[in-house]
Amino acid sequence: MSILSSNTDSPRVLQIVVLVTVGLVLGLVLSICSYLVFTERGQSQQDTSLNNSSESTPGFLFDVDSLLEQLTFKKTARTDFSTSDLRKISEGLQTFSTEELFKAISQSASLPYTMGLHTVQEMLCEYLVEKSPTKALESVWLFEEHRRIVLLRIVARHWVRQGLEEAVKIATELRQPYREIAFDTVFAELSLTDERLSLHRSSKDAEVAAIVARQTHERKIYDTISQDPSTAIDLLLSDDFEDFEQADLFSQAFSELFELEGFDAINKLNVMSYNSEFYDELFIQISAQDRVGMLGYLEGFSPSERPLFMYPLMEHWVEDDVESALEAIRNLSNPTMRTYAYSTLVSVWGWTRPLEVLNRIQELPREHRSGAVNTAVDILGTTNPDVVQSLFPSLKAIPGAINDENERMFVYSWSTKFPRKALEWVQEHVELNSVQRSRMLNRVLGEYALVQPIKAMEVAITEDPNPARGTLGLAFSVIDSLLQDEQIDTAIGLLDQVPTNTRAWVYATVAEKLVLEDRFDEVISLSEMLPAADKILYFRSVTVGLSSANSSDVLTLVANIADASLRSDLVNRILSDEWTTDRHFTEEQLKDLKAFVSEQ
Amino acid sequence: MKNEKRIPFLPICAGLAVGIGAGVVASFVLFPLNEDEQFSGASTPLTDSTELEITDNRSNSTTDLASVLKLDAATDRRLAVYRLLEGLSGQEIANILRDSFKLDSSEHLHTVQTLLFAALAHRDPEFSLELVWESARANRHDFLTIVIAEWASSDPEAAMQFASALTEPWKSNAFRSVLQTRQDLSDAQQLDLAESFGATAILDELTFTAEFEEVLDEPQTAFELVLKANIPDFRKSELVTLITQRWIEREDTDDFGSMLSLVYEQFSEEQYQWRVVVSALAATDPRLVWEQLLTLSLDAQKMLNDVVFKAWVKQDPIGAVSALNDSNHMSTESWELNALYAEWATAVWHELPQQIDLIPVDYRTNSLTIAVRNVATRIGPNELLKQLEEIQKKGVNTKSTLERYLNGLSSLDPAAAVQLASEYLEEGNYVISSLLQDLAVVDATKAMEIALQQPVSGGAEQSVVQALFSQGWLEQGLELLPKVRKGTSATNLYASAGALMIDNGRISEAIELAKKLSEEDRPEYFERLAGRWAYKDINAFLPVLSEIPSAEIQSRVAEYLLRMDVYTGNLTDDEIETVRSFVQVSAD
Repeated sequence: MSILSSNTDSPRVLQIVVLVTVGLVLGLVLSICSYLVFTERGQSQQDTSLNNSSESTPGFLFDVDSLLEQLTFKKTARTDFSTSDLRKISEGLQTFSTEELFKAISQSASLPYTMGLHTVQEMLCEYLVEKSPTKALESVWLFEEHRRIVLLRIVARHWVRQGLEEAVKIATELRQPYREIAFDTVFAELSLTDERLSLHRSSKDAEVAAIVARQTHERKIYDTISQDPSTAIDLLLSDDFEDFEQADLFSQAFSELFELEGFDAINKLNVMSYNSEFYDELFIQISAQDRVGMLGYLEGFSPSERPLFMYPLMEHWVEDDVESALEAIRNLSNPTMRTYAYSTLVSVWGWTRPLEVLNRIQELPREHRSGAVNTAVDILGTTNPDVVQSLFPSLKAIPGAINDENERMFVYSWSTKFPRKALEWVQEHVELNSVQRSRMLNRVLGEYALVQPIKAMEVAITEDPNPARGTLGLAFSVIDSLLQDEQIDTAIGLLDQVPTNTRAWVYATVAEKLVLEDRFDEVISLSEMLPAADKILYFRSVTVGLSSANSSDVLTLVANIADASLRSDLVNRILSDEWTTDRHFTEEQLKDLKAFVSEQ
Repeated sequence: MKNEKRIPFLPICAGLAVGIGAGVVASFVLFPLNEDEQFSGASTPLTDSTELEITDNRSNSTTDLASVLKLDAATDRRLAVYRLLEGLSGQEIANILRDSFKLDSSEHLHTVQTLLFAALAHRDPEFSLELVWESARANRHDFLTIVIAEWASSDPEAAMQFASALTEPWKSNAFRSVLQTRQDLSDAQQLDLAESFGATAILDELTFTAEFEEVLDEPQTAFELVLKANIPDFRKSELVTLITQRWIEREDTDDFGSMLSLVYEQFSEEQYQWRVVVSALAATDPRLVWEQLLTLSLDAQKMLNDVVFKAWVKQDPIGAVSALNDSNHMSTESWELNALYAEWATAVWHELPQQIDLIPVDYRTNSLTIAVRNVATRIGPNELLKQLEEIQKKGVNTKSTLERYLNGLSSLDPAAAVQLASEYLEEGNYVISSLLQDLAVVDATKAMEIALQQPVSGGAEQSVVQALFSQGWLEQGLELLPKVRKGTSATNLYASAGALMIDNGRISEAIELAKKLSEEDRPEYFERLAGRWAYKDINAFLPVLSEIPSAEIQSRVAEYLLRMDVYTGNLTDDEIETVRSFVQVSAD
């Protein structure tokens, strides 16, 4: 059966094989021809387009106008040059004269942006600088800043071909920032071997030497960042260059360090916090990658370190998204950390958007309301005191929003700009003889004294004695404020009005200033106006103030006291304060002081 | 028959189908379309230049990179690069770029790589960006700018999208490149683009920069503009430097007084960029600048003098300090003088023991403290402390300087600070407790071990436990609390622990904790607890107050709260009444 079948099927099989083969060949030929025809047509379409384009811009390669026309055409066609096109343009530009190149580049400066425009401008600049470096440099100034820098670099690179000395000479004549850019390009263009580097490093021109030194240093930093970002940061911190000039290097190094060490990277910022002006920016760069994570990370910091980071974190978080900052703080599990984070947030919020925080005060936990109000009224007290006063009643209805400290803060702030109004408000609204009134007057009278010293002293005398006050009295606030403001003679003129019971301390404050002006005679004269029993208090008070920074003045003062007994008593009191003498007097000074002690 | 007639068509059709398929595949294999040609198809070719045959391109492509780099003229290099790249796929260009990364630095390598990046970015911007990260780090900024600009020219949204996923500083650089490249977009379009990708700060910066260039040579206006600008601080420093450089180039430098005066009027003390300006002015002729500074108001002198003096010290340290000693400058402002002498001491640090006599006695200690803080960032502790010892031998009291230095060191390396304190400070010095607090945060066990070696009276171990409670670490603190030695009261520590328990809702434990104290200490424990809530939310403390097992202590605590409220004014009328209800009415 199988043999029979095989026999009878053989021609058919052969026929089928032939037919399949014919079909296969036909299919192959057809598809390949179709492909070739299709792609040929595509090419032909391109050629048609190309011809059309060429027709629309005849002879574009041969004159400036057609080149500029072609560049403008690109904008309407929203198309770009291919590499082949660019090559053709470059070849075409070889035929342009200096004038044509200058005209082309100059006119291109005011063309609207098109794809390929910048590349063509760079080509024009390259050709022009080869024909006329002067014209090329002249053309650079026609461009806006970021393009000007690109083109200037092309020009500067060409200068190097004329010799390094010549390049430096031309660059030196440029104004900043172009001089530095040109120098930078010139030296970057050279392959600076160690030998060449040392030659330029010893250059008499300090500016050139500095640029070479900086480039060498930068190269070292770049080489180090990828392998060991921590060391790169150390190098950046210890170099002689300004940190702000190396912001990008710092930023790269910290990005790498963050990849390696995560939030631990900010430990490097501790070192920087002493003297780096852009510590905040670097910290923000790191924390922006995960603010919630950073907040949690700060829990491990000691209370002395934490503020260095918490404040900038909150400052930017509140600015960008206060809701997410509040939510992240609410979710902190450590109550101490939560309290600290809240207090920082409300402080920042109140400082930057005081009215907003006052309007939303009820949304804050009660224990943080007064902190927020404190900052807000501190700001508004100088800028918008009327608004604060109008808001007080509604704020008082919210538990924890307003306490005595908030009212004081408002009055303090208000008095720095409007002392008389603040004083009148206190006198009218705050309970007589209360602690609150005394505390408020203490500051308000100090501010008022700077504009109306006599009236301020009158109020101080009228208000004193306040049972809520301690030893010093309000007259001290008036005198001290004048002294802080360098109005020493005005202060001296008011001294006779100071109540007798507080004179020793008030006079001592004035005397301390007089010592610093070498007016020792007046210091002694002031002591004569005090009861004998108060003299020792007076002199001791003066020496306490002087000891930490003016120990030799203490010795001079002691030497000026005529009464040996008083002098001996004073020195004994000074020497009994071991904490101060241990730290602020030399052994020689202590020996001299002891010599004043009477042997009794 | 029907079957017989149909048989020939089937093999032909089958063969035809397979043949067409194979033909298509073979066509693509044998006659591939290169990417450049595909791209050109989408663009508008320029000319029908028959002389520029594809065959030429192929032969040009054999030009290798090394020969391109040998070309001296930029135009020749560019042309050679274009010839090299014609007809190459993105992958082939990438291969050339990768090969170029392996070359030793040559004079033209960077410019040639820039052309290669531009070409690759033109074909496949994402791929070209991958290669940016393979290039030498020093070149990445330039290449990223090229690639992003090239991308932005055809698809600014895609370029911004990609840029927004980068980390800093690359993200800002890339945003800047897109927005600078596409200045043809309308203001609204640019704003829309910037807002969509979080780049408004960069757009603001570019807008600001354009305004700034207009006024660069008008220092007053330019400074004002920079100080108000919403740009990073380091950028402000760069710009004020530029204003100053141009100012110095332009002005008669005999008149530094008016320049300094303008700086004083324009900048507040906190706007520290004034330091950059004054530093640049002073560097030109510090002695002259100093002399003219002395003609300004006292406040202006106080603000500017340290920077001018620093510049002078840098050029002529002995001359600067001698002039300071010979003048009456700031004679009543001891802290100003301390800061100035500190600048000098910092500059001559290595010779300071021999030259310390040049500082008047009263300024030695305090200026030394400031100088030590300055040099501590670049000098190791051992070297620094050795130098302090040398200075002490010259009769200078260095104790407070040493204490402050160790305090500063403690925030960086508490273990080292504690170790050095044990060597350099007397036993029981107050600073040791402070250092142990820092150490406790990183190594509580070690901190406690050292604390127990200190005199009992110093309360060092209390500082350690308090540091833990201050961190909110209740369990760690409780673990070490029993180690506090007898001799000083630990009630405050218990109150800290109790407060944390209340914060964590463990009120009954806070009440129980009191039992670990003697009966006479318990009222104080509850009062201290109450004191913490006098400033917070009293409602969180009322459950504690009601749970205090002794009515007498309850009454005492309530009275304490009411007394506190006289100073704080924190309680509402209702809350005052509630608290008052705990006060026992006197039998009298």
